Amino acid sequence: MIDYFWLIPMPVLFTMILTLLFGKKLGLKSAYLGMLGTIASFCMSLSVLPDVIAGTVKQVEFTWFLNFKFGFMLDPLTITLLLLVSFLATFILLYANGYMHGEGGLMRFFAEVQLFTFSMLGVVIADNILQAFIFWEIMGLCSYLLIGFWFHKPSAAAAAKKAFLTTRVGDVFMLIGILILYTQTGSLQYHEIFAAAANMDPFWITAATLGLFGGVIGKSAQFPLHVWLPDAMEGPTPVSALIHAATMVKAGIYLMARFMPLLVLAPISQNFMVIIGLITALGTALMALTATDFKRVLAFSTLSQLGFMVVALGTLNMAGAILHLINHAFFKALLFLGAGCVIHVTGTNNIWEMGGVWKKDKVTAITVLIATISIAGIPPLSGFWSKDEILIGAAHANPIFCGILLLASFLTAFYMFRLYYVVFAGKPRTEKHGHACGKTMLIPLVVLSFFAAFSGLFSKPIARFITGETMAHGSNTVMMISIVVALLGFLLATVIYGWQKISAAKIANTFKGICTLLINRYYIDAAYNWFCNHIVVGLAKVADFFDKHVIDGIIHIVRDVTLLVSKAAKWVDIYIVDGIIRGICSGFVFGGSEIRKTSTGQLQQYLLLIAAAVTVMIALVWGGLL
Amino acid sequence: MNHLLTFILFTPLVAALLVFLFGTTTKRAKWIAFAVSLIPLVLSVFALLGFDWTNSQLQFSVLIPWIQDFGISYYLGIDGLSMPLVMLTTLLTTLTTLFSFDVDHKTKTYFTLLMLLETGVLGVFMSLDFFLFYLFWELVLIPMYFLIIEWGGPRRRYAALKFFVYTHVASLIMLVGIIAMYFVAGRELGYYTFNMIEIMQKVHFASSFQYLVFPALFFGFAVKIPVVPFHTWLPDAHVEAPTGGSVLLAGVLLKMGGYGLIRIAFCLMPEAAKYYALPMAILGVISMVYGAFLALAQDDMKKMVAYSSVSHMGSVLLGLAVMNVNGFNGAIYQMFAHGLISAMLFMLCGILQHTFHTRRISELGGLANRLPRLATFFVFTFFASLGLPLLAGFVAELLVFLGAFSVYPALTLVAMISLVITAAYYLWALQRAFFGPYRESLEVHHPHDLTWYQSVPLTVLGALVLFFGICPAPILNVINVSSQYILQLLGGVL
Repeated sequence: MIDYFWLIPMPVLFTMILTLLFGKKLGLKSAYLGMLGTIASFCMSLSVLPDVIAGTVKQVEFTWFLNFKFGFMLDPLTITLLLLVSFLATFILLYANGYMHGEGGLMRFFAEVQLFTFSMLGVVIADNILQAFIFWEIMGLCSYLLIGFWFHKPSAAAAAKKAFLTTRVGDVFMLIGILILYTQTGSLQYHEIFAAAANMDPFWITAATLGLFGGVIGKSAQFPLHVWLPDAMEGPTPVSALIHAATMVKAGIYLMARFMPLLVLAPISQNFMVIIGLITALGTALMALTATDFKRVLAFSTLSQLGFMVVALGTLNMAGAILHLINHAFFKALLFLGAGCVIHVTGTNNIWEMGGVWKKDKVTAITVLIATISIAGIPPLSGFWSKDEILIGAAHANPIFCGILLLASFLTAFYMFRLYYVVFAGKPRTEKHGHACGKTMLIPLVVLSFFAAFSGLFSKPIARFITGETMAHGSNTVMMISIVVALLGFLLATVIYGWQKISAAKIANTFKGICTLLINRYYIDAAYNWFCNHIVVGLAKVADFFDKHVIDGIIHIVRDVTLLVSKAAKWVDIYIVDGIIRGICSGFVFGGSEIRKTSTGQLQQYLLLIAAAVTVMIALVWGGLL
Repeated sequence: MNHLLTFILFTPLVAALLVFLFGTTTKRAKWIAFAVSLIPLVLSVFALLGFDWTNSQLQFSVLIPWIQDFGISYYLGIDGLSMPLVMLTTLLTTLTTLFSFDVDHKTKTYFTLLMLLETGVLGVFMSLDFFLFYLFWELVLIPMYFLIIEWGGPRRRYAALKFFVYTHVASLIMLVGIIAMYFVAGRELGYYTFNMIEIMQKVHFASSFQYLVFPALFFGFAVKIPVVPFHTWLPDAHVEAPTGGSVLLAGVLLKMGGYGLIRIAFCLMPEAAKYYALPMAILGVISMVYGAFLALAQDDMKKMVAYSSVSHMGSVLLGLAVMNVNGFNGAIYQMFAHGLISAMLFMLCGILQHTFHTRRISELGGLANRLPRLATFFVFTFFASLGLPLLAGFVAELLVFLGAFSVYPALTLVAMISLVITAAYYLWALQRAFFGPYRESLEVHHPHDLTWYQSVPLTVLGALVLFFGICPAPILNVINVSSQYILQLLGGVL
């Protein structure tokens, strides 16, 4: 099997094609078909796992065209993600089987979900940056299609476009990074690039890593290209789970982890990443405080957690980043799927129209509670372990980094429990009713909650597996502070939203300005909108005007001048050239008419003229003139 | 086998004659044209199969003296540069014929002109004699002019005349260059010949002469490509031309410019090509970015697509101007890929026009609800055109950028702006025309989803775009041989 490891993503492609062919007939059953593919991929990954643990690193290369290659590699990082992605996709598909009940366009939906999963597998198994970029872009397409799944909704169509264009901006930077690597090393294969890195000019290493990181900013939704992710919830909920947990945003983190050997050599890029990560982690956590849409709160929390991972990468803490990626995948998939259930049950997205869900749906309530505790970073659930790992790494680099992350961590605990209290505690706030969730929706929740709870316990072996190094002993101080901070967040949320001792409205009123700023997402989206609608479209209009009136204007002037010249020529032709000819003609006509007068018809006159002429001729001949 | 090219070249002419003589009913004219147009297609597939892509020399060549007093000969041949373009021409003509099955107005003449056009374009791609080349080059203009003026939109007189005069003036300037070469080469050789290959191999033009003549040739080809600022005839011609005309105009006629630039300007004037490399690259980048911005400003879908052609053909010029193997391969592959993709784009615009009697994006809305198959094709084609990986356009763009970045990094960065703008205009158009709620007022046109003669060409092209995106090797291997060879010619003057 290990020799055929590169076939791992193929079952998903295969079932995707089958879905395209038979999806119309299968309907919701396409989910099971898709699961066959993802389960097959998962089992195949599992079967090669022992070999990889034993230290096998595999690589296969084929010629794509000319000297461009496509190839696959298998190492601990790849296998970890292969397992994670195929596992999550399986349960997301199962969940979608229940969630998409009664929807149209199921063939399209399930085929796109599988293509999405396949592309993510394609990114992580690629052995060269070009191939990773190819699947990276296909993922962009899938996100576009799935976010815009309900394309008849204008908001969904707008969100889809926003997602693709925003990530496209990042992708251009990534492509620049690829171009730099290709021109500097002459190769696109990871191992050749890393081998050549030692002889590369540090300037180009920095430029290349920054370029690649630009792609990560787009796909992993970091500031300032984070704007697409909160809107991406316009897609069906299983898609959100897929984007936030298994694919898309995780691809960026994976890519940077893959480029760790290069990143080590680029301190400027590291610092830049840390700064971007910190801004994102804190800035988006603040935005989550004022969000009122269940899925939007989760979206902001994803942004914030991704910020944590980017900081980890920037501090060269690959173990922390990947561990958090794994744990986050479990609890965030769970949160989104849980959110889908809650929306199903309550019939609304707005958390202030929910409430009392605990009584309506115990399974969802308990599993989401586990995920909430996990993301809040309260031990011993998984989120705590990886977050702690990141904090320690950040503290090593600079205590200020750690401080900012702790603040974000406090906010995380606070807004997550705020969400939990508002939605699950108390009584229903409106009369809206949804319908109960079926088994296929609840099974994934239960399974994922198990992992969200306990995946952190395997941090050490996983970290050793991925990095090949034993994890450094954690600093107890950081660990203690992190626990205290998380508990404080939990406590504050309990006081305000659980016991309602302090009025949230009052606080909001006191900090009205800040709240408005947060609700409007710092006006970044508005600024981008303005920029696109006025500057970009304005430039296009200017170009259009220039084209119509200046460039074509010159052409028209040439035309008009030519026409003018031809008119002048026509005038000359009519009045001068033709005039001369006509003058000659009329001369002849005039002469003719004059001469005609001599034609009188009288024979005597003619004889006289002939005689005169003969006389003249004779005279001329005589005179020697003729 | 010796006269394979002759057969490919003149079958359409015979077809034109057959259609004209026997196409007495609309139906008969269509089917004769379609059936006969399959012959050159099949023959060119044979040519591709028989093509030796390890050989950089001209293949299937035919050389028959014609007007010996002037050194004119009937000389045809193809290499890796022309092979993909010949393939493209025969394929697109067949598909366009099929797609034009709904033409009811003077059907017989319409298909006769299409067939004539095919002979003209094929002649350009196969001729290796200047005289012959110019003959076919000018022949192309005539059917195109009549296609626009007889089957065109409301401003067809303006557009047809602009197309004809603009490109004709450019051709004449090019002709001046060709005649200059003819005389100078004749003086050097001791006998006069129009044989391109002979001149290329035996004559070395003085640098000063090259610097002088190259711009004349470049102008002739640049108008055809078209390169900004010589592009304004294109959107007008496209907007007014009937769908079949637009498909061939964008699909193959524009490639004549790129082809001529390489085959004549670059191969015969290598020093000048090097000398003018940077200005050409700059013009290419301007075309890419400026064309993309222009496309963004359009409300007429067809005009948007027309400007996107300007933008994409700009990358052809950029790829050629960088003069390395990636750039060359990318540029030639882009011509092929753009041929397939732009044909799809114009077919789709034609369907819009036919179904809704408007192509204005602002007058459409939510079409995906009503016409899902049409919408699927639009999404596919737009993504193909914006360079989605695994579709043909991506490989071309990637190679051009890889080639360009190693020579002009800063210029390449500017060119990459077009990547974002291109995505923007396509996705914006999709959002406004296809997504959102369906505009019920469009129902008065009784829209119906694709007919068989519309979906067959689109499916064939779509499959090819996908195939050549995943496996570019069959075409790129062929292209690569010629790229290497031409670069050797250019490298000789380094």
